[in-house]
Amino acid sequence: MRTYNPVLSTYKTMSKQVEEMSHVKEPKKILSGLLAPKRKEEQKENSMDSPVMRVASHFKILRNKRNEINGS
Amino acid sequence: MARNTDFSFDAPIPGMSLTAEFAARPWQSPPEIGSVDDAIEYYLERMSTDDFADQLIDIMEMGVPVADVANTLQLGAVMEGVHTIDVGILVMPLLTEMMMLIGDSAGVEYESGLEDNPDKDRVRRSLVEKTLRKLENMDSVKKNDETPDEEEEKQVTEEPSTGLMARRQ
Repeated sequence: MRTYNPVLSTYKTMSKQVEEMSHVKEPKKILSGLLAPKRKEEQKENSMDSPVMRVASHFKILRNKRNEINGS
Repeated sequence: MARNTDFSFDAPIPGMSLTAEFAARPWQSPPEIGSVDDAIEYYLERMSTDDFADQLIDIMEMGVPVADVANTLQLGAVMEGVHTIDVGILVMPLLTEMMMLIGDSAGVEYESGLEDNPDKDRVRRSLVEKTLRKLENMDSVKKNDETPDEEEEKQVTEEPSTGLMARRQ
């Protein structure tokens, strides 16, 4: 019997994250000033300030390279 | 949510972590690497060497799943006090992907270990043993049924028939 391995869940979550990243459109020009709209929580989570997103960006590069090798 | 279905009796007992002096273990002192970015750099640098690639390919050819290797790598680093467990968990998918990239570029057939239930198609060992026992029982019953008849037949043939009405030989 196989023991619990956290890689399974983390890898799948990361794969989903990377897929979602490719669907996200480029944000429009951020307005500055007192009356500028505030950034939403979701945007904050998806920004490069989050460590998960930084890992995801590296992950995406490696995934693309693998896809190139495997021809898919 | 993935569940731990392995109920091991070999697990540490409550309070076992307090039996050593505080901060005597490497993971109880501040880690060498504090951020995810530094951890990524640390791992990618190590994994880019030829020595690592050769060793990894050997392990892959032995049939060890990549996911298990990634988990062992990060756990080892946590135990040595290189980084914390949360940084390790964050970095793990990247380690897996990197190792699969090494495997793919070397043209090695490897087991990723990322399947949901790898034992799904595998026949349970207990079921095989159960079936084998049933078959053995069936064989022994058959033998028991067959053996007395043969003995009886032998006895019948061996006994010489005597009497007035007996056939002449």
